[in-house]
Amino acid sequence: MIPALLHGKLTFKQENMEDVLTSNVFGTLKYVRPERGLLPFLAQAKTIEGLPCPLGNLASQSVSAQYDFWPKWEHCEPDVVLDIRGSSRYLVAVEAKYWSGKSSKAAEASGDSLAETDEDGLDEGSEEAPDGGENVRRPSDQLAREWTDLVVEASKLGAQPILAYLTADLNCPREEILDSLNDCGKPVPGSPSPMIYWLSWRELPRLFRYSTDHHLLDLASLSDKMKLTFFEGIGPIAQVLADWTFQGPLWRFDMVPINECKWRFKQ
Amino acid sequence: MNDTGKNIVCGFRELRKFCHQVSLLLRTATGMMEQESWDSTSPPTAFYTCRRIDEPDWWLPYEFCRFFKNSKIHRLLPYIAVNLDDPAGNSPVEYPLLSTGCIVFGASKNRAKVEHWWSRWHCYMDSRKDDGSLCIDEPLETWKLEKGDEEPPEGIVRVTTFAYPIIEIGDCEALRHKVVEPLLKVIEQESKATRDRSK
Repeated sequence: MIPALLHGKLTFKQENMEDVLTSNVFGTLKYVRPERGLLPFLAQAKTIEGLPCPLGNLASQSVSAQYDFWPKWEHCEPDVVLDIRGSSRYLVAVEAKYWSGKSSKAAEASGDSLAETDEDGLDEGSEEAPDGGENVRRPSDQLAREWTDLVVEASKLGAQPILAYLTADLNCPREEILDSLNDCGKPVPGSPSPMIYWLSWRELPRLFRYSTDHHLLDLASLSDKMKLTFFEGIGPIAQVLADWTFQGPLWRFDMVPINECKWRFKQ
Repeated sequence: MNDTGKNIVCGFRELRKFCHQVSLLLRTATGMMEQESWDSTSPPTAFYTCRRIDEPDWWLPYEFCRFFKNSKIHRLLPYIAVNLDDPAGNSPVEYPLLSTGCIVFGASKNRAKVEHWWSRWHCYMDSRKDDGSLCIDEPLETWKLEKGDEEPPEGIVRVTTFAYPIIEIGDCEALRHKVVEPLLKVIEQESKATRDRSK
């Protein structure tokens, strides 16, 4: 799909589908050793406080990564789930966005029935569920639901959960992430505190523009083509000589001296 | 056919490339300011164009700017701007500038409506330096009006500006450290001074 996009063979709509972008990027990273492609990319993820993602610690190690695209979990469908094994094991859920925001947001109040319909058609909305006589609130925010399911899935594998919110933003979408963290509520005793990392597609060209791996170079070209870049300074402006001047008819409105008219009608 | 036609197209492409970088720069700066509760005031960014057939000097914009507001600090109006050369030559620049400033209004409720030229304030500063040094103008004191000159904009008591040649701002980190953080420091100082004066 990347060559089709680079050669302008896709429609504008196709080019701008976030699932196509996700598939192009992670589908390509899959064929590159994780420590060369996936890990350097994910290591750029940061919390809203600017704390780096712990995956950076694995960057110098030999690791394996398994990719699971759009898995259906109990309450959500993350775009990509990565099972990364090195000296530690991490389960990374990636929620990828391009033009759109989160598909569902936190309900304004507990029990609010206005939660939006989720694009993946999965169960949606806050609800109070019986839990041994005690009510447990289920979050309605998309990232909060993903965090809840991720913790469960990661604990099954004995992995540390990492939720990455991958967007096209130039700056961290703090408000969106704060809303999600608030909707996660207090963690159940013994489970990790909610942690959401933000990552931008725009890291790709910066990381891979000068790579020697042709897959990674393709990703950089793809990002450049889609204008997914950070500000990288004002590049050199090519010097061009446009030696053209318009020399049409004289468009001047100067007064031209007119010879006195000598003609007279003689009666 | 020689390369002239291709060169014209290429020239405009280069201009668009430059515009893309300016857009990224200003959007990044806007995000950084928003994180400090300074929201951008208005969507227009490219200023000083005129579409009239007889005004070709003004067809292309030469000023790109974002003004910011904070609902809790009404008297300050910071901005971040990219200044190119002014076709009229009133505020010339030799190279594109990334300039920024903080406009301070007095206590009076009467204040001039925001004008785009304010984002070129640095270019009008006497003996300005474009190395990050602060320039300060107190227009009520410093504007020596001659016959026919415009009065200073109503309500503005002080303007602090600084600037760098834009090519010295090479990435987001340089933008943060050289421009946004020093601007926030100026804002903090002006905010404190404004509070002190009000006491």
